[in-house]
Amino acid sequence: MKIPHRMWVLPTLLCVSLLAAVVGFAQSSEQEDGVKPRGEPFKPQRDTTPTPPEPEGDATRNIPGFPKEAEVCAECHDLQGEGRPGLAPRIAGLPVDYFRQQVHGFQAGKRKNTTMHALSEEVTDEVLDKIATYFSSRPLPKITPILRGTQAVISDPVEKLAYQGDWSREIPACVTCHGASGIGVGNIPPLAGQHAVYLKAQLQDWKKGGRTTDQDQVMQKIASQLSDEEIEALANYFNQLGKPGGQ
Amino acid sequence: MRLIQFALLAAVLGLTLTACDRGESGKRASDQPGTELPDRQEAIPSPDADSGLPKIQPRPFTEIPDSAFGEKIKRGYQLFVNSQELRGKYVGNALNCVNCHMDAGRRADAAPLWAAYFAYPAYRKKNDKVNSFAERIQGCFTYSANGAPPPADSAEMIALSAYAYWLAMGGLMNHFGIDGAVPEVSDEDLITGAKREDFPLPDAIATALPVEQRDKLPGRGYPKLEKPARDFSPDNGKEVFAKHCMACHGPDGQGYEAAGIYNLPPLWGKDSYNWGAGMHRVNTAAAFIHANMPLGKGIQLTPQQAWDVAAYINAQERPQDPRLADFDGDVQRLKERYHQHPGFYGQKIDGKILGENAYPDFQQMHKRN
Repeated sequence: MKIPHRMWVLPTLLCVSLLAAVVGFAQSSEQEDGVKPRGEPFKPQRDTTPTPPEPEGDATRNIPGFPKEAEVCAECHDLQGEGRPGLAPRIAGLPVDYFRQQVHGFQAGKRKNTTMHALSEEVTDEVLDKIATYFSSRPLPKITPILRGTQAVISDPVEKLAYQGDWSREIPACVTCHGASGIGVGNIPPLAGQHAVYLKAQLQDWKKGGRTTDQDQVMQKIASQLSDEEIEALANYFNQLGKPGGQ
Repeated sequence: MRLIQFALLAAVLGLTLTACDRGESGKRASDQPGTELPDRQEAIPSPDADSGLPKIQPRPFTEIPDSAFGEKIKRGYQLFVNSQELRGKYVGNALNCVNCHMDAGRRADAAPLWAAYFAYPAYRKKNDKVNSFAERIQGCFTYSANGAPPPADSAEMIALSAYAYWLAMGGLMNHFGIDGAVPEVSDEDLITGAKREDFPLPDAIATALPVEQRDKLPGRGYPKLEKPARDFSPDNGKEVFAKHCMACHGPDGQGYEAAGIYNLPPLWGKDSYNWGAGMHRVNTAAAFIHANMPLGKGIQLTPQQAWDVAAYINAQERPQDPRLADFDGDVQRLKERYHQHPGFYGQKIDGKILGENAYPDFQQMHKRN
């Protein structure tokens, strides 16, 4: 496990203690380098944890358009919005409206995450617009999307779910709405390259009713039809699509 | 006078939403010299789900044979799902067949290809003409895809026909307990469709499905939707659209594209279906929407909401009905002949007559380029 830069530890710890004070959230298993997501043990992934960025000082000045208000976000989601697997999801390149809706969702309790619930309450819509615009402008993973309909016979059951769905359970293909290879489209978020642990947690939240930000409960219904194994496999599949050498 | 009588008759028939082709109630434009675009986008009937006829489920694609015939089937699937491969050649808008036929034309109650395959050739008493399956698909390209019809003997038409045939036959063979691969048939047989005495079928299927029953497979078309309690209203539909449709189709109904493909399709405007497409009928769109939208969560809206939002979508300008050229550009004359059904073509909405400011059809686009 990597030792965080001193400059990184301090504001994070401050942030954590502040949070604990605000929402009475303090658990003994809290790791020294981050806030736990959703009560699961925090397990940094040795190979994928990016080098912690410096949230202050020159680093931010080098990124055009980085709003000062986004510094608190960058502490977990990183300056470029890449996030950290197990800690905070990728938010780079999210559609602006989707970004806003999610923060409003945390405010309204339609998404469950103690940290984000507390932090989102501090955010005004004016500040939210700045933050959303900045992170939305950050790049998505560069991949060559595979168009729907390219292949009729798909033997891998996960790829089949992603590209053809399973209409016997009324599950449409993921890429129908999320775009070819899940690169995201319109106000529908990208899946390709998102952290697997986050995708899995979201599908589970949809399935169990912890997340209710969708229109007409469309995602809730779809997720409710997926097995835990399928959720895990889909999360890994879309995560891999965003990696160099991924499909 | 004769035309008015027929128009009145057609209006009455229009309320019943029967299989009847309203265009046939008057003299068909296609009967006149120099015209060649008949109404092939009539309302698709919704057969009785409890008729006792087989409710079929196509076979999984893993059962498509590794053969030249199998390649035709797979090609048909590809063109059906990514019809944009044919953009500019046979497709003039941003739509893909799969936008209106869910699960790549496999799903019951979402105008499945397998049911259509067994509904053609369709004989028409009025003009003593028989429309083959290929001619029906040509109608889809001309109107729904605002494009040009692929020739009946083109590789694309043969592929789409092979795909439809394989879906239907695999499902029927499973239903009747017939093992083995779907029998190969000739290209000539493929493009005509299975509703004829001499179509090659296993005896068990031919016997159980006499020709006159073949166009009544449960699941064909979209389920008929009960009439709304009050008249459908585009204004009310606008609210339904904002609440239930906009997240995917966008505030302006123009959908969204990723990687150059509108996976969330435009519902009106220059890149959507034209004024001759079946979906511009409010009843057809309402039935489709109610059964299939939002995607993966059909039967979500009330019938009233479905009718209203169908009216809102179809009270917007879109590409021209390509038959207008046969009527010297006279929208009202075309309306009298072919638009005697619940729809807004030729009607004044927000101070403008719909159809008079339509976007170009495929021919017009072609002329401009």
